[in-house]
Amino acid sequence: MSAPFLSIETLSKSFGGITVLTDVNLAIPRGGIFGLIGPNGAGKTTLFNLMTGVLRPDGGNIRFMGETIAGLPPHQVCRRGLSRTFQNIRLFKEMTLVENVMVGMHGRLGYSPLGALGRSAGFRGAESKARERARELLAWVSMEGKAEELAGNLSYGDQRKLELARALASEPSLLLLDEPVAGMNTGEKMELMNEIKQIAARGYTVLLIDHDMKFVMGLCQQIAVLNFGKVIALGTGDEIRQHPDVIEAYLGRDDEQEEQHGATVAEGAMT
Amino acid sequence: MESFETFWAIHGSLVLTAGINSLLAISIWLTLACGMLAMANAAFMGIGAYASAILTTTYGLPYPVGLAAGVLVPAAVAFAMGKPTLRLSGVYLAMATLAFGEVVRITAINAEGLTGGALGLNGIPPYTQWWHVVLALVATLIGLHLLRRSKTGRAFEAIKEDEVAASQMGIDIAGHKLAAFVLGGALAGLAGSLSAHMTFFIGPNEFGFDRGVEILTMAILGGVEGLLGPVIGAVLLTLLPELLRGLNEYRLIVNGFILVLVVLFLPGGIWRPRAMKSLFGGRAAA
Repeated sequence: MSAPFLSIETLSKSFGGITVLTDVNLAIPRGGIFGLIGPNGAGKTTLFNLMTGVLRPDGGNIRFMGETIAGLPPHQVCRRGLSRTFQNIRLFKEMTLVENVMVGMHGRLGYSPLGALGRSAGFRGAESKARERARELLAWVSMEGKAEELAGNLSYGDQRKLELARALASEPSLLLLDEPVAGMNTGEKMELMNEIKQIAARGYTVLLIDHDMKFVMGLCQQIAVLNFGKVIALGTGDEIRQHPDVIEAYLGRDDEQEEQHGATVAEGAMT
Repeated sequence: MESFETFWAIHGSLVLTAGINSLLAISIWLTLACGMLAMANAAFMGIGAYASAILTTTYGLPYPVGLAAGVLVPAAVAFAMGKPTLRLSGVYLAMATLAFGEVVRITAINAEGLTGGALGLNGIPPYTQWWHVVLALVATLIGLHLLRRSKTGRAFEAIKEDEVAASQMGIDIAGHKLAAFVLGGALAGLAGSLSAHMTFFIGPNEFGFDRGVEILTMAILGGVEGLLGPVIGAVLLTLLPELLRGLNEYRLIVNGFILVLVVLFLPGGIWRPRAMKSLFGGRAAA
């Protein structure tokens, strides 16, 4: 048996007295789109922050392609092939779109500062290739026409798409998307959904968090549900929809109601 | 030619001071461009000035040796000091670096055998030629311009805008900050060495809090967005007191008033390439 692509093992994290994650176990296979859902405060973003080195876990481990990444500084996690977008958009607003994406390539540009000072052949080759690739990635999210605009001038939906292109710039094996369609209108959501599907079809593994059930169910082959810092369910969209613990997490328990009735209500609320 | 010689005889030292101030303003611009408010540049200037002047004056070593020490000693001190302190951010980093500046000044006062104490070092050989200053400034500007248009420059700007996002893009935040700090220290040291061998004399109080604030003001006034900003700020702040000489005792008041006006009405500084580009680019398109 080869090691799983990404495995999270008995991971825990608390802030002061508040436990955010307790003994989270999760294995994510290579390929496809994996969803992570859960009510507000369930610990989804904390899990992303632990995976990308923004936070250190209190206990447990995260293994990515056979290597332990828990506790590594963020830039080293990135260089091992894990990249992300942010729930609250964090673009470099004073830089152009192309520059934003090129920042994402930082770890892949091999030339030294001396090579840059001397404008060596290696430098010039790497830079022009990087610029070309940046434009290509912008085209993946249909933004090639705005390549030289400042990121700060983009509409909200376009900013989210630029974050996606920037996250792809490090050529990650695993792409973490933190609420990629939050605040978008239906048309923008549909567009981005297709773009994420195409990205997955190009061989990137995607792990995404979102609140929009229609979006998550329509996109993800597998979904994990997190509630109060624990994984309470794992399965396909249909399996999750029927899962009694998930229904309880989203709607609360009602002993007088029949199980079947509760499931129908939950289905209605989720879609 | 004759008129130039007259001009140089009268204003030469002013022009060279403007050049040295430009180097100092660029040295703090380096850390500002990486999102750090570090106030140790006057101290690094002092370390560079003393290191080079002690070697050339006390030990009679040649100028190039002095200059090399004037660059390398402050860079080494910046490295040793930056490792623990650059984790601080915002006003805390400013306080730590200010405190460091005071330590350097007081050390210079007390290490009498080496630095001449409060009386300073006298009789420094006037080795600095006008072209030394020009060469240093031009080489610095070209080098930093090339560095800015590379992954290093993009990393600095990314760190300045959003540290968390930059670190997730694979940028080693601590490493880049340290590099900017050390480079800024080396540059301030170079300016100190050039200046020491122009003025015959250096004393500890030249490199204190006032000088630190002056350096910061030059960079902020000129604007930190582009590389020319600190140069413009430095030239302006060097020349302004001279241009206002006719106002006699009102000179400093008017000088301060002009600074307040610039800060009020040009909050990003004087040199803002992006704003200018969008202004003129927009007109060209229309």
